[in-house]
Amino acid sequence: MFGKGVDVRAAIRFWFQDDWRTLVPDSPTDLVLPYLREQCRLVGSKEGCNEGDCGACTALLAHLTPDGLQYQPVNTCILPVTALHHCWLLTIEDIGDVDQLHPVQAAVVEANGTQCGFCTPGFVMSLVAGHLEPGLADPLPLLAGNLCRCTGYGGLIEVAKQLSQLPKDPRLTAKIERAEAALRAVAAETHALAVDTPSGRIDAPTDLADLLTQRQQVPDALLVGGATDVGLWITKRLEQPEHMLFTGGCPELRTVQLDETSLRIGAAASYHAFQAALLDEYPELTDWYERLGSVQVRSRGTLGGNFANGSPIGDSPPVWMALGATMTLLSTAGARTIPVEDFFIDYRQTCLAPNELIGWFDLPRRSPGMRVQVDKVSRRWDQDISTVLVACVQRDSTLRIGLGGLAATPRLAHHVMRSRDVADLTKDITPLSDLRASSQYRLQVTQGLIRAFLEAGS
Amino acid sequence: MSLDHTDSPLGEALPQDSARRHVTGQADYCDDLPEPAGCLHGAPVLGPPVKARIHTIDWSAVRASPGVIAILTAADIPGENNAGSVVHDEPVFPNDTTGYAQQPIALVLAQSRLAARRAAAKVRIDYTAEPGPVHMDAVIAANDRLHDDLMLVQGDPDRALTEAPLTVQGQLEIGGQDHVYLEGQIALALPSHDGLHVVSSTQHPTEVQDLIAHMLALPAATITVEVRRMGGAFGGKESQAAHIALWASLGAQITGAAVKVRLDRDDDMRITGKRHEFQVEYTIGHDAQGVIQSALFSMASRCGFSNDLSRSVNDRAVFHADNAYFLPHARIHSKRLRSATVSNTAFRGFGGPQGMMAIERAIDQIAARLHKDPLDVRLANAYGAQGRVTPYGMEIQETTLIPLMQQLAETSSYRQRRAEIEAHNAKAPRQLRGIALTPVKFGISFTASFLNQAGALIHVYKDGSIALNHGGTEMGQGLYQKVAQVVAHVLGVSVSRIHPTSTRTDKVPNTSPTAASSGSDLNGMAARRAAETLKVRLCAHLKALWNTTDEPVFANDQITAGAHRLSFAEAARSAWFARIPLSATGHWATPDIGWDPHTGKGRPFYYFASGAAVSEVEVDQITGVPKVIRADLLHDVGESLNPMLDLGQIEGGYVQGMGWLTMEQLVYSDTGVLATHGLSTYKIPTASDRPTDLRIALWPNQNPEEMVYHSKAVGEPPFMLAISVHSAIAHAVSCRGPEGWWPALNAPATAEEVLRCLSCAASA
Repeated sequence: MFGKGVDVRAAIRFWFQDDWRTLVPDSPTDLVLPYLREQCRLVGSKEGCNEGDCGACTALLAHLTPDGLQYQPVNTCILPVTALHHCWLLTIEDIGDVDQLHPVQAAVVEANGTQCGFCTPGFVMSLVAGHLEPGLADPLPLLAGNLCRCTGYGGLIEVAKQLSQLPKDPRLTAKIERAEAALRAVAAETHALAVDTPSGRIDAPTDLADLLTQRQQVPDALLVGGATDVGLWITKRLEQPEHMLFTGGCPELRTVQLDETSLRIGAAASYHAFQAALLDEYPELTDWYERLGSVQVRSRGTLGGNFANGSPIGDSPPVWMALGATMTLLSTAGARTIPVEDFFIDYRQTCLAPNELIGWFDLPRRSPGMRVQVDKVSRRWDQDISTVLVACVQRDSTLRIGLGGLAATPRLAHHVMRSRDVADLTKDITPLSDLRASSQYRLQVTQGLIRAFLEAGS
Repeated sequence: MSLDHTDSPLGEALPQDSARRHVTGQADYCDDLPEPAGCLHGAPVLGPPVKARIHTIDWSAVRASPGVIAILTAADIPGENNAGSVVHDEPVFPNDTTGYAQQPIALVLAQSRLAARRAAAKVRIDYTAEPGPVHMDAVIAANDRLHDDLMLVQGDPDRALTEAPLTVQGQLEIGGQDHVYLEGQIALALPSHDGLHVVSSTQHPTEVQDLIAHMLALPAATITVEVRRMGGAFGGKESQAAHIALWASLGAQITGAAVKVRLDRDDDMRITGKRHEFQVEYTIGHDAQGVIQSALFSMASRCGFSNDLSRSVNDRAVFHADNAYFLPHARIHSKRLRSATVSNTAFRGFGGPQGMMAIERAIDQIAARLHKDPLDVRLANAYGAQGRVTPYGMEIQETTLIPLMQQLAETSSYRQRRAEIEAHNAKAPRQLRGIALTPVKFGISFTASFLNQAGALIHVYKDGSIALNHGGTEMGQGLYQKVAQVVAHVLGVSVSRIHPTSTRTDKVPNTSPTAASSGSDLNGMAARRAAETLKVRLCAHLKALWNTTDEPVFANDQITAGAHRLSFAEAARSAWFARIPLSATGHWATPDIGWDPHTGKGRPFYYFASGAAVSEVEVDQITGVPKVIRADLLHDVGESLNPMLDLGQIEGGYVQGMGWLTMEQLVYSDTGVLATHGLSTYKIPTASDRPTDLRIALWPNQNPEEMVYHSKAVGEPPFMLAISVHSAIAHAVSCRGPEGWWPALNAPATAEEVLRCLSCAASA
């Protein structure tokens, strides 16, 4: 299936517990948490929800970058083992022992940060991530992906605030040096994967042409970006796709590039990877960004995935629509570029052809005097699914309003955009009633938020 | 009088006994234990998506699914098909009629957990829907009493109401709550020809043992139930853990293999009981000063399809309808209603929180109508201002409530902030603010009086190490540490010498659940007695050894008498040589409690725990989203055994209560299928929901009763401090309405509920 001369590995290889591990999973859907707990008998990481919400299974995935290792907290319960390839996986077992606590662990004990203790290993891993990566250390966003039902969070927040003052742990530092050296030694090797498992096939090409060819040849293979949604299909719907085609290996799909007119974000770039570029250009999106999933979800989740699954409640599409973004769809036949709002056809139906995949998104750069207001309404501030998401953008004389959670697909409020009268919203949408809110509430809140935007600009 | 803390661990701020293991991932929960070879895994088969009569079940696809070993149904049960804790009305598996949507009807055993889950999903059921009431209005309309009402009457409420110059009335809907213990329900059953050993994540090992014994028709003595620690429980593992342990035990007994059952989170939420939903109607007569003359409450609760613990939960709601206020005349009527939903159960506060909500709403209404600060109306009615006798006839001895509320009002600058908030709201900002001070008075004891007993077992080994065992279970509250502190105090040793051991029915039998906030009271007293027995034996031995009449002093891991001195370890070894038994049991039964279940009168509680909270909130007028921005909590834990653990309980209880009253909402379909069955749809507070400014203090006080060393129970009472959040949200909303108006804000005060009330304010 690969082009001639392309080197691929037939097994997943990753650095773990001070050594290389080679793994051929039982199936393409094998996930990291059961691998740790059942196969490795490393039981420090806990399963609380099995859908990436509670963070009790948090581990760190370290990638080699030109600047050294970069650490990402991940929810191992929904992380395919394929994601470990050429990474270092750090679990709670790497951090410290009862008799020799890591400074972060000692601080959690001291701060009364544990009661039942079940969520604690996950919190410790998030805190260690903040300790290793100062960019993650803003206390509340750092902890948003970890649930604790006992403590009320006070002690844990206290530790998160102290992270920059806590010393490094020499034993962990030594492990880091060994891991970095190991990953450097294989950096020049191919990262492409083609694994035959007893119950299915994993492909993770690194060459875009290979990826498009495989997409053309096996349109039934499940395209996977960060698996933050696919992981739930596996753990909750018990789906067993026989062929998973991972997109994240191709550099073109991970691009984050600013030019004179637009910010290009590859469909397989993680939220974390484009955070800085996006928020530099549109600081109004800071709350939106920090409330989208959690650190763990943004480490893995991709813009391509948020669009491709066609959900009416994805948080990105309304914002990208309001900002007037385009997206480029690729196939072996070539590329086509469309406005993002044209991507959605109906509930969970998109215009993506069976041989196509999403390449990248182009977001127009900010223009002088433009106004951006994005409001997400959800039951809970952090890490929740939108009840309503309203993105309003005024650029020169053009008003664009993107809506999420209000109809079968994310969409633009064309009538209101023309008339600037919120009463016309009922011509654009008839909101649904569901477990999050009633139709009436959704309508009232959406009108209120649009009205606030229009009034602020008048 | 204060405890001398200089060389005693009592009152020392020590972390949870396993804290260092928690942070390293080295604290073993049930699922972390090594599985025996050949261990099978069970997954429940869920019944039809509506209460139904089952005609036939097609198992062929389940049987054919890879890895399946067996399917267990009601027909496989050798003994009693019952999982009901008090009334035997809840089957392990139903025969042909389910009580609620998705009730488990069977267990699939397979070689792996995933194989079992996949197989269980393949069942095909032919059924006829027999729908029953699901939503609260339908449940009330159906009026199917699960058991007798409780009607508690004090004085002549009807006449007093007629004579009262003014009345307020209203209706309050109060939602349920899922426990969301982070460790889901789990059990591991290990069979042998000598009996069954079951590791169960349960608050009530003895009940699990009893139910297994009855189900398998075996003597209780052959069943051992063990729990070292739970990953949270909150009442959700008091009766609910039994189902899972029963399934695992049945599987182990039938197959001879070890069987583990660990529920997936979504199944856990669908099939385990929750906090009871309530609807309360109330009419309160009061005078022009806001002093209550008569109070009438009519409570209806949604209990689910079976009894479970609903009788006691509702009894406690009745006993807390007064909360902190003297009701000279009162009638409290409680209806316990059957519904076609999962059987609701214990949850931190056990009906108390629901019971208190209405009186707090009524007092806010009275204050609004009289243009008074609600705090003044609360102080005017609090026990101690007008009277001290509760509607159930028990006199409140302590005088804590009023000074506690007054001090909190001072330290939180409540009155000044309230004035600032009303001025702020008058400017019609988008973000309204609100503030409230509400008290809590919570009765401590099981209302099922016979449960107020506990046992302990202490072994001293020849090296001076001490193994401590008692009937209480550890779910994160710090019980093991507190009881270890008690024993260390009695024996004059350091806490590190005490090794808490897992709770097992073969060490301490016939235990009560670890519930009703009673864990450290009951088990602490039992362990104290066991330790005192050992101390008496060691004293006698050493006095003989040293030939002295001086009373030996136990302190600093040493025992001294005059010039004589032995280390504790030396003393233990010496006693062993002298053939002194170094193992002792202790038992405690709370004296002087009891009440009449027909009239509700008597002394249901040994003492009360009190507290108060001031919460300040912001409410977004466009979205209705509320946010707590500051809270000041002042709580009475008596003479704290361990302030670190107590402060943790207070903070955690408050945040959990805030979740219940704001964002946590259970949504059911019309047939009773739970729509919010995962953590993606059922939202509990995260770190950013905690008020950024949270100040917690302990009220300096002693429990006038002696248990334990004049400390007080702390597990549940702080949960109800969060009622101040609800009241503060209502305050914010009230500022949008006319003078004297108060919103009929239900619970939870979700953004949608708040916006509904804001709309009412505009048209009021």
